[in-house]
Amino acid sequence: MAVYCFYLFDRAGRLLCYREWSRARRTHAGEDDAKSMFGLLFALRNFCSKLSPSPLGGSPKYYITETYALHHHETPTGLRFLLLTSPDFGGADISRDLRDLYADAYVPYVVKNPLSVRGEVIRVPAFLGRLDSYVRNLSCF
Amino acid sequence: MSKASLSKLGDAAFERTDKVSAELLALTYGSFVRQLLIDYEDAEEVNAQLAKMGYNIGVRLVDDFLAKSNAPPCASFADTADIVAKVAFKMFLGVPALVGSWSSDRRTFSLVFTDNPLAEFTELPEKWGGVWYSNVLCGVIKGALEMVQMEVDARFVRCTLRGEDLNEIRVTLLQVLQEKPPVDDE
Repeated sequence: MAVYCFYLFDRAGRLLCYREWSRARRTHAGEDDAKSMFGLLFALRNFCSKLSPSPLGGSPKYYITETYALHHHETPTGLRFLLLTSPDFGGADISRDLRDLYADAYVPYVVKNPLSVRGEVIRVPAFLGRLDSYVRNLSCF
Repeated sequence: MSKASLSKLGDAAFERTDKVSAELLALTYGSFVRQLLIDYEDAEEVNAQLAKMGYNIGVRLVDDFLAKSNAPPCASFADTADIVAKVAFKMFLGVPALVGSWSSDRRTFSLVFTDNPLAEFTELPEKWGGVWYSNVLCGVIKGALEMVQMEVDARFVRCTLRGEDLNEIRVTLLQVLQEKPPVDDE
Protein backbone atom coordinates (compact mmCIF):
# COMPACT_ATOMS: atom_id res chain seq x y z
CA MET A 1 0.00 0.00 0.00
CA ALA A 2 1.21 3.45 -0.75
CA VAL A 3 0.17 7.06 -1.13
CA TYR A 4 1.64 8.62 -4.25
CA CYS A 5 0.76 12.28 -4.29
CA PHE A 6 -1.65 15.06 -3.38
CA TYR A 7 -3.07 17.93 -5.43
CA LEU A 8 -5.17 20.89 -4.38
CA PHE A 9 -6.83 22.95 -7.10
CA ASP A 10 -9.08 25.98 -6.86
CA ARG A 11 -12.10 26.55 -9.06
CA ALA A 12 -10.09 28.27 -11.76
CA GLY A 13 -7.77 25.28 -12.02
CA ARG A 14 -4.80 26.86 -10.28
CA LEU A 15 -2.64 24.32 -8.50
CA LEU A 16 -2.49 25.58 -4.91
CA CYS A 17 -0.54 22.73 -3.45
CA TYR A 18 1.27 19.62 -4.66
CA ARG A 19 3.04 17.08 -2.52
CA GLU A 20 4.37 13.65 -3.29
CA TRP A 21 5.38 10.74 -1.12
CA SER A 22 6.27 7.67 -3.11
CA ARG A 23 5.50 8.47 -6.70
CA ALA A 24 7.60 6.11 -8.72
CA ARG A 25 6.86 7.33 -12.20
CA ARG A 26 5.76 10.64 -13.63
CA THR A 27 3.71 10.77 -16.78
CA HIS A 28 4.17 14.43 -17.59
CA ALA A 29 6.63 17.01 -16.47
CA GLY A 30 5.66 19.63 -13.89
CA GLU A 31 2.90 21.96 -14.94
CA ASP A 32 1.54 19.73 -17.69
CA ASP A 33 0.88 17.05 -15.13
CA ALA A 34 -1.28 19.42 -13.06
CA LYS A 35 -3.07 20.71 -16.14
CA SER A 36 -4.03 17.30 -17.42
CA MET A 37 -5.10 16.30 -13.93
CA PHE A 38 -7.42 19.28 -13.64
CA GLY A 39 -8.75 18.76 -17.14
CA LEU A 40 -9.49 15.12 -16.42
CA LEU A 41 -11.31 16.01 -13.23
CA PHE A 42 -13.30 18.78 -14.81
CA ALA A 43 -14.59 16.44 -17.49
CA LEU A 44 -15.10 13.52 -15.12
CA ARG A 45 -16.99 15.59 -12.58
CA ASN A 46 -19.26 17.19 -15.19
CA PHE A 47 -19.98 13.83 -16.74
CA CYS A 48 -20.70 12.20 -13.36
CA SER A 49 -23.07 15.05 -12.43
CA LYS A 50 -24.93 14.63 -15.71
CA LEU A 51 -25.51 10.96 -14.98
CA SER A 52 -26.79 11.71 -11.48
CA PRO A 53 -30.50 11.05 -10.93
CA SER A 54 -30.63 13.98 -8.50
CA PRO A 55 -29.89 17.60 -9.40
CA LEU A 56 -27.60 17.70 -6.36
CA GLY A 57 -24.25 15.99 -6.28
CA GLY A 58 -22.97 13.20 -8.41
CA SER A 59 -19.41 14.30 -7.76
CA PRO A 60 -17.07 11.27 -7.92
CA LYS A 61 -15.40 10.07 -4.73
CA TYR A 62 -12.75 7.93 -6.29
CA TYR A 63 -11.93 5.83 -9.30
CA ILE A 64 -9.66 2.89 -9.42
CA THR A 65 -7.43 1.27 -12.03
CA GLU A 66 -5.06 -1.72 -11.91
CA THR A 67 -2.18 0.48 -10.90
CA TYR A 68 -3.57 3.34 -8.85
CA ALA A 69 -6.67 4.93 -7.30
CA LEU A 70 -7.62 8.59 -7.41
CA HIS A 71 -9.58 10.03 -4.49
CA HIS A 72 -11.46 13.25 -4.89
CA HIS A 73 -13.24 15.72 -2.63
CA GLU A 74 -14.76 18.91 -3.96
CA THR A 75 -16.04 21.69 -1.70
CA PRO A 76 -18.98 23.92 -2.67
CA THR A 77 -16.43 26.72 -3.00
CA GLY A 78 -14.82 24.83 -5.86
CA LEU A 79 -11.69 23.59 -4.12
CA ARG A 80 -10.61 20.13 -5.25
CA PHE A 81 -8.61 17.88 -2.99
CA LEU A 82 -7.05 14.89 -4.75
CA LEU A 83 -5.02 12.00 -3.51
CA LEU A 84 -3.41 9.33 -5.62
CA THR A 85 -2.88 6.04 -3.85
CA SER A 86 -2.12 2.47 -4.79
CA PRO A 87 -5.24 0.47 -5.78
CA ASP A 88 -5.08 -1.71 -2.63
CA PHE A 89 -6.10 1.15 -0.29
CA GLY A 90 -8.59 -1.10 1.47
CA GLY A 91 -11.86 0.39 0.26
CA ALA A 92 -11.96 3.07 2.95
CA ASP A 93 -13.69 6.30 1.97
CA ILE A 94 -10.63 8.50 1.62
CA SER A 95 -12.66 11.39 0.21
CA ARG A 96 -13.94 11.77 3.79
CA ASP A 97 -10.37 12.09 5.00
CA LEU A 98 -9.88 14.75 2.35
CA ARG A 99 -12.95 16.52 3.69
CA ASP A 100 -11.46 16.42 7.19
CA LEU A 101 -8.25 17.79 5.79
CA TYR A 102 -10.24 20.71 4.39
CA ALA A 103 -12.03 21.35 7.69
CA ASP A 104 -9.11 20.74 10.07
CA ALA A 105 -6.13 22.03 8.11
CA TYR A 106 -7.12 24.14 5.12
CA VAL A 107 -9.70 26.31 6.88
CA PRO A 108 -7.75 27.10 10.07
CA TYR A 109 -4.27 27.41 8.54
CA VAL A 110 -4.93 28.84 5.09
CA VAL A 111 -8.35 30.53 5.06
CA LYS A 112 -7.89 32.11 8.48
CA ASN A 113 -4.31 33.09 7.77
CA PRO A 114 -4.24 36.78 6.84
CA LEU A 115 -0.89 36.32 5.08
CA SER A 116 -2.13 33.74 2.62
CA VAL A 117 -3.56 35.21 -0.55
CA ARG A 118 -6.45 33.53 -2.34
CA GLY A 119 -5.43 31.73 -5.52
CA GLU A 120 -1.72 31.65 -4.70
CA VAL A 121 0.42 28.60 -4.02
CA ILE A 122 0.18 27.64 -0.35
CA ARG A 123 3.45 28.07 1.50
CA VAL A 124 2.08 27.94 5.05
CA PRO A 125 4.31 25.49 6.98
CA ALA A 126 1.51 24.67 9.45
CA PHE A 127 -0.77 23.52 6.64
CA LEU A 128 1.93 21.54 4.86
CA GLY A 129 2.91 19.90 8.14
CA ARG A 130 -0.68 18.91 8.90
CA LEU A 131 -1.13 17.59 5.39
CA ASP A 132 1.96 15.43 5.73
CA SER A 133 0.92 13.99 9.09
CA TYR A 134 -2.64 13.42 7.82
CA VAL A 135 -1.41 11.41 4.90
CA ARG A 136 1.11 9.45 6.96
CA ASN A 137 -1.67 8.50 9.36
CA LEU A 138 -3.90 7.07 6.65
CA SER A 139 -4.27 3.33 7.01
CA CYS A 140 -3.17 2.88 3.41
CA PHE A 141 0.09 4.81 3.76
CA MET B 1 -34.51 19.90 5.24
CA SER B 2 -37.23 21.33 7.47
CA LYS B 3 -36.87 24.76 9.03
CA ALA B 4 -36.87 23.35 12.55
CA SER B 5 -33.94 21.05 11.86
CA LEU B 6 -32.08 23.91 10.17
CA SER B 7 -32.51 25.93 13.36
CA LYS B 8 -31.06 23.01 15.31
CA LEU B 9 -28.15 22.88 12.88
CA GLY B 10 -27.63 26.60 13.47
CA ASP B 11 -27.63 26.13 17.24
CA ALA B 12 -25.14 23.29 16.99
CA ALA B 13 -22.86 25.29 14.69
CA PHE B 14 -23.06 28.23 17.10
CA GLU B 15 -21.99 25.95 19.96
CA ARG B 16 -18.94 24.82 17.99
CA THR B 17 -17.81 28.29 16.94
CA ASP B 18 -15.15 30.24 18.83
CA LYS B 19 -16.81 33.07 20.74
CA VAL B 20 -15.75 36.61 21.49
CA SER B 21 -17.42 38.89 23.99
CA ALA B 22 -20.39 40.71 22.47
CA GLU B 23 -19.24 43.98 24.04
CA LEU B 24 -15.80 43.62 22.48
CA LEU B 25 -17.33 43.00 19.06
CA ALA B 26 -19.84 45.86 19.28
CA LEU B 27 -17.33 48.38 20.60
CA THR B 28 -14.57 47.42 18.16
CA TYR B 29 -16.96 47.59 15.25
CA GLY B 30 -18.32 50.90 16.51
CA SER B 31 -14.92 52.53 16.77
CA PHE B 32 -14.07 51.14 13.37
CA VAL B 33 -17.12 52.69 11.72
CA ARG B 34 -16.42 55.94 13.55
CA GLN B 35 -12.91 56.02 12.13
CA LEU B 36 -14.29 55.42 8.63
CA LEU B 37 -16.66 58.35 9.10
CA ILE B 38 -13.74 60.57 10.09
CA ASP B 39 -11.61 59.35 7.18
CA TYR B 40 -14.17 59.48 4.40
CA GLU B 41 -16.61 62.15 5.64
CA ASP B 42 -19.28 60.83 3.30
CA ALA B 43 -22.09 58.43 4.17
CA GLU B 44 -22.21 56.75 0.75
CA GLU B 45 -18.47 56.23 0.70
CA VAL B 46 -18.55 54.72 4.20
CA ASN B 47 -21.34 52.35 3.14
CA ALA B 48 -19.24 51.29 0.17
CA GLN B 49 -16.14 50.72 2.29
CA LEU B 50 -18.08 48.64 4.79
CA ALA B 51 -19.54 46.53 1.99
CA LYS B 52 -16.11 46.03 0.45
CA MET B 53 -14.67 45.00 3.80
CA GLY B 54 -17.56 42.60 4.30
CA TYR B 55 -16.98 41.12 0.85
CA ASN B 56 -13.40 40.28 1.73
CA ILE B 57 -14.59 38.70 4.97
CA GLY B 58 -17.31 36.75 3.18
CA VAL B 59 -15.08 35.10 0.60
CA ARG B 60 -13.08 33.54 3.43
CA LEU B 61 -15.82 33.05 5.97
CA VAL B 62 -17.77 30.78 3.63
CA ASP B 63 -15.10 28.09 3.90
CA ASP B 64 -15.27 28.25 7.68
CA PHE B 65 -19.03 27.97 7.41
CA LEU B 66 -18.91 24.94 5.11
CA ALA B 67 -16.30 23.21 7.24
CA LYS B 68 -18.15 23.64 10.54
CA SER B 69 -21.86 23.93 9.85
CA ASN B 70 -22.67 20.54 8.23
CA ALA B 71 -25.30 22.43 6.26
CA PRO B 72 -26.99 20.28 3.61
CA PRO B 73 -26.46 21.20 -0.07
CA CYS B 74 -28.91 23.71 -1.52
CA ALA B 75 -31.21 22.66 -4.34
CA SER B 76 -32.72 26.09 -4.84
CA PHE B 77 -32.21 29.73 -4.00
CA ALA B 78 -34.95 29.33 -1.37
CA ASP B 79 -32.80 26.70 0.39
CA THR B 80 -29.88 29.09 0.27
CA ALA B 81 -31.99 31.81 1.88
CA ASP B 82 -33.04 29.49 4.73
CA ILE B 83 -29.48 28.34 5.35
CA VAL B 84 -28.12 31.88 5.42
CA ALA B 85 -30.87 32.94 7.82
CA LYS B 86 -31.14 29.94 10.13
CA VAL B 87 -27.63 28.53 10.13
CA ALA B 88 -25.12 31.18 9.04
CA PHE B 89 -26.64 34.12 10.93
CA LYS B 90 -26.95 32.01 14.05
CA MET B 91 -23.46 30.59 13.73
CA PHE B 92 -21.62 33.87 13.25
CA LEU B 93 -23.84 36.48 14.91
CA GLY B 94 -25.61 34.38 17.51
CA VAL B 95 -29.03 35.51 16.27
CA PRO B 96 -31.07 33.80 13.58
CA ALA B 97 -32.86 35.84 10.93
CA LEU B 98 -36.24 35.35 9.29
CA VAL B 99 -36.72 34.93 5.56
CA GLY B 100 -39.66 36.73 4.03
CA SER B 101 -41.07 39.04 1.38
CA TRP B 102 -40.17 36.87 -1.60
CA SER B 103 -40.54 38.62 -4.93
CA SER B 104 -42.88 37.00 -7.45
CA ASP B 105 -39.97 35.73 -9.57
CA ARG B 106 -38.45 34.09 -6.42
CA ARG B 107 -35.13 35.84 -6.97
CA THR B 108 -35.34 38.41 -4.19
CA PHE B 109 -35.96 37.84 -0.51
CA SER B 110 -35.59 39.73 2.76
CA LEU B 111 -33.56 38.77 5.78
CA VAL B 112 -35.25 40.23 8.83
CA PHE B 113 -33.79 40.34 12.33
CA THR B 114 -34.44 42.48 15.38
CA ASP B 115 -31.36 41.97 17.58
CA ASN B 116 -28.24 43.22 15.91
CA PRO B 117 -25.10 42.43 17.93
CA LEU B 118 -23.09 44.94 15.87
CA ALA B 119 -25.29 47.86 16.83
CA GLU B 120 -25.93 47.03 20.46
CA PHE B 121 -24.75 50.30 22.02
CA THR B 122 -25.05 52.51 19.00
CA GLU B 123 -26.94 55.69 18.26
CA LEU B 124 -26.77 57.17 14.81
CA PRO B 125 -26.48 60.99 14.92
CA GLU B 126 -28.81 62.84 12.54
CA LYS B 127 -25.87 64.12 10.56
CA TRP B 128 -25.04 60.56 9.55
CA GLY B 129 -28.60 59.55 8.68
CA GLY B 130 -27.40 58.14 5.33
CA VAL B 131 -25.09 55.56 6.88
CA TRP B 132 -26.13 51.92 6.88
CA TYR B 133 -24.25 51.17 10.05
CA SER B 134 -24.15 47.37 9.67
CA ASN B 135 -23.48 47.40 5.93
CA VAL B 136 -20.58 45.03 6.47
CA LEU B 137 -23.19 42.24 6.68
CA CYS B 138 -24.32 42.91 3.11
CA GLY B 139 -20.75 42.56 1.92
CA VAL B 140 -20.30 39.31 3.81
CA ILE B 141 -23.44 37.83 2.21
CA LYS B 142 -22.35 38.94 -1.24
CA GLY B 143 -18.80 37.62 -0.87
CA ALA B 144 -19.83 34.30 0.65
CA LEU B 145 -22.51 33.52 -1.93
CA GLU B 146 -20.24 34.50 -4.78
CA MET B 147 -17.81 31.79 -3.70
CA VAL B 148 -20.57 29.23 -4.11
CA GLN B 149 -21.40 30.50 -7.61
CA MET B 150 -24.26 32.85 -6.81
CA GLU B 151 -23.82 36.47 -7.70
CA VAL B 152 -26.17 38.48 -5.51
CA ASP B 153 -26.91 42.03 -4.60
CA ALA B 154 -27.48 42.63 -0.88
CA ARG B 155 -28.55 45.92 0.65
CA PHE B 156 -30.09 47.23 3.83
CA VAL B 157 -33.58 48.65 3.49
CA ARG B 158 -34.44 49.00 7.16
CA CYS B 159 -32.27 49.50 10.20
CA THR B 160 -33.24 49.85 13.85
CA LEU B 161 -30.71 52.67 14.19
CA ARG B 162 -32.86 54.71 11.82
CA GLY B 163 -35.81 54.39 14.13
CA GLU B 164 -37.44 51.41 12.43
CA ASP B 165 -38.46 48.41 14.49
CA LEU B 166 -36.58 45.83 12.39
CA ASN B 167 -33.42 45.30 10.44
CA GLU B 168 -34.05 44.17 6.90
CA ILE B 169 -31.58 43.18 4.18
CA ARG B 170 -32.87 42.65 0.63
CA VAL B 171 -30.94 39.96 -1.23
CA THR B 172 -31.36 39.60 -4.99
CA LEU B 173 -29.95 36.78 -7.08
CA LEU B 174 -28.38 38.37 -10.15
CA GLN B 175 -27.04 35.23 -11.80
CA VAL B 176 -25.78 31.77 -11.09
CA LEU B 177 -22.15 31.73 -12.20
CA GLN B 178 -21.07 28.96 -14.55
CA GLU B 179 -17.79 27.12 -14.26
CA LYS B 180 -15.43 27.76 -17.11
CA PRO B 181 -13.68 24.77 -18.66
CA PRO B 182 -9.91 24.91 -18.39
CA VAL B 183 -8.21 26.80 -21.22
CA ASP B 184 -6.70 24.68 -23.91
CA ASP B 185 -3.38 26.24 -24.76
CA GLU B 186 -1.88 23.50 -26.81
